[in-house]
Amino acid sequence: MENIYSEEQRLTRTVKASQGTVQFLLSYSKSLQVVDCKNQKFEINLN
Amino acid sequence: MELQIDDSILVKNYIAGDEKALEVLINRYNQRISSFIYSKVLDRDVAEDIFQDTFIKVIKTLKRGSYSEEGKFLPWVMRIAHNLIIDHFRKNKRMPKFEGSDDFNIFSVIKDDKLNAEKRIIKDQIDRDLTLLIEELPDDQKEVLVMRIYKDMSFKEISENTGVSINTALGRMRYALINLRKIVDRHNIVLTN
Repeated sequence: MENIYSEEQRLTRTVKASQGTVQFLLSYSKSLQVVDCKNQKFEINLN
Repeated sequence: MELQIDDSILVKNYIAGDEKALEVLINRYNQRISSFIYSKVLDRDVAEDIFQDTFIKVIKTLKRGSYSEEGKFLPWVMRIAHNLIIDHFRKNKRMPKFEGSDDFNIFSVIKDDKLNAEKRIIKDQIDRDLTLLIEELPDDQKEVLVMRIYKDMSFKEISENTGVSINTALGRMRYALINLRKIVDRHNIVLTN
């Protein structure tokens, strides 16, 4: 039987967001506060 | 065996103020979400930006208390990422741009064939030196070489113009090149570009 030498192209590649991005998200989360005031929600970002 | 806390519990804890729960969720799905985004956009930087925007949306929604899909955290995040990917392509369609990525660089296809200033100067010097060397050759060889190289004439045309046979013209050309190499060797001349 003939061999098939063509290589299947890998469309997916495992990548990960950098530690810097993860840290930014965690800091962002800590700094973000949502305040409920008269049925309105306000976002406060405390840096 | 490592004990894995359920997504829904982590989400509940996070809404209740446990910031550590978010870290666990991000680290748990970092690779899956990033790879999903990358498989669509094929650009590491864009994938990173979309990943960040996805989780900013997640954080805002959870903190606002608008999250209601308990137990389906990952599909929900994937849908947010998917919508942001579509937004990215819509934005790029309005303002198309072509730039290099990790896998493909446009400059590997399009390049400037012109010599740079340094190489041009070197080439000019070599051409000038070669002209002087050719002057050293016997007249009959010089004549054939000039006709062949500088005037781009065929050996048939050279033979017609000089009144010698094609074989003689070929022989003179051969000796011209041999003699040129000898002169170059004798004077230790380096002709490189």
